[in-house]
Amino acid sequence: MMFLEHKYTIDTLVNKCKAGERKAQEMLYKQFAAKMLGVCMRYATDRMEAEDMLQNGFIRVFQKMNDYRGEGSFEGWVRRIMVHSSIEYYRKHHKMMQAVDMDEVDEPSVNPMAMANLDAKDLIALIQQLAPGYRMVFNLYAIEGYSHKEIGEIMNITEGASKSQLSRARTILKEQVLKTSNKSYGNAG
Amino acid sequence: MEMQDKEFDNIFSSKLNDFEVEPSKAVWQGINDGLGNNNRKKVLPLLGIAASIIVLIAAGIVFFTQKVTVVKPRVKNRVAVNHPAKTAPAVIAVKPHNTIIQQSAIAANTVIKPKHLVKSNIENKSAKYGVITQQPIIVQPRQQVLASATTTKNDMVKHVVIDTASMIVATPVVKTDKPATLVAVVPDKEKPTDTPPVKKHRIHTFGDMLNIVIAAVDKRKDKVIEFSNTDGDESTITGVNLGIIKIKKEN
Repeated sequence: MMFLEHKYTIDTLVNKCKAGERKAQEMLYKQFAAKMLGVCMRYATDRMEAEDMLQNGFIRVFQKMNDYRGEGSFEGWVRRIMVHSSIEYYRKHHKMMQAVDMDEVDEPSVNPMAMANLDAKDLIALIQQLAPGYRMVFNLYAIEGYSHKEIGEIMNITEGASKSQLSRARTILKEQVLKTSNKSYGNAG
Repeated sequence: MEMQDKEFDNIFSSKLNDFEVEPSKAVWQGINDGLGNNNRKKVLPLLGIAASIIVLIAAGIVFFTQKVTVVKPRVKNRVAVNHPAKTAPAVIAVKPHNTIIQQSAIAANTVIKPKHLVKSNIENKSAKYGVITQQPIIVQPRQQVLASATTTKNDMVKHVVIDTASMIVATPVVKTDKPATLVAVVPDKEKPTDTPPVKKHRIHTFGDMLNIVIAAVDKRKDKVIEFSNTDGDESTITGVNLGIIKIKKEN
C-alpha cells in the first residue's frame, strides 16, 4: 500500500483524479488532508467546523480538478480552494462583521520574544477566539499573503474595511499574546 | 510600528504554515458522499433493482408453474377417461379403485352372509372340498366373461372383478349352487351397469336435465350439485361438492 502510494507522483495522481479514479482521489486526499485541515483550523471556531470546511473544500477540489492546468504548485491550488471554502462556510453559517468601529486604540507592543514560547496550537487557539470577520482578514492577509484588494473581493467588503479589520484583529491578538505570555511568565516565576 | 506588525504576522505565518491536523475518517466519507462516489449510494439502488427483479421472476415462476401443475393432471384425467387402456394404471388407480371397492363391497355384503355359513360349513363338512374344485370352474368363466366385458372400460376392473370372483368362489361352493351363482352374477352384472343407468334415465324433471348438463361438465363422482331424480315434479338438491365441502344426501 505504501509502496503504491510512493509510486505515484502528484501529477499522475492529479491526472488519474481528472479521469475520475476513486482510488487516486483517496490517495491525493491522504496526501494533503492533514495539511489542509491545518489551514482550515485557522478559519474555524473549532475542529468540527474545520473538518466541515475541509470536506467541502476537497469536494470542490475533485469537482474542479480539470480547472487545474499545472500552473503553480498543486498544493497552492488546493490551499486556495480550502481558503475559499472556509470563507464560503462562514458566509453561510456566520454573520460577517461588516461594520468596524475604527476607534484609534493604542496597540499594545508585544515583545517578539514573548511569542517564542507559543507553539502552533496556542496561536490557533488565539486566532479561533477572534470574531469571524477579524479572523478571516487576519488569516488572509498575515498568513496567506493576500492583498487588501483581494481580501475585499473575496469577502465582499471594501479595501478600507479589510485594513481596519486586520488592524483590529492584530490588536486583539497582541493583547491575548501578552495575557498568555504574562500568565506563563507568572507561572514560571 | 509597521515593521512590528509585519514581524508579528510572520511569527504566526511561520509557526502555522506547517501546522497539520489529521482529520477524522468521517471527512473522507463525507467527500465521497458529496462526489456521489459512495458505494452505498451507487450500490444500494442497484441492489434494490436487482432484488425487485428477482422477486418478480420468482413470483412469475411460482405463478406459471402453478398453472402448469394444475393443467397437467386435468389432461391426464381426461386421457384416463377417454383411453383408459393406453394410460398408465398408476395414475388412474385412485379413482377407479374407490368405485370398484364400493361396488365390490356391495357384492361382498350380499355374499358375506353365505360366506360365514360357508366357513362354518366348511369346517364341519371338510370332506366336501372335492366339490369346491368343480364349482369355481363354473363361476370363473362367467366372471371372466364379465371381466372381459369390463376390460374395454378399465383394466383395473378386470383385476378387481377377478379378485371378487375368487372370493365369491369360496362362498357358494358348499351351500347351494343356485344362490351362489345368482349372488355372484347378479351383483356383477349390476356392477358395470351401476353408473351408466343413472345417465340413461329419462328426463322427467328439470333436475334431471340439470344433472345431465352438470354430468357433461363435471366428471367427478360427486358432482358440483346434484338433484334428486326420484321425486316426481319437484327437484331437490341431493348433493353438493365444492371440493373442500361435500354434502350428499343419502337416498
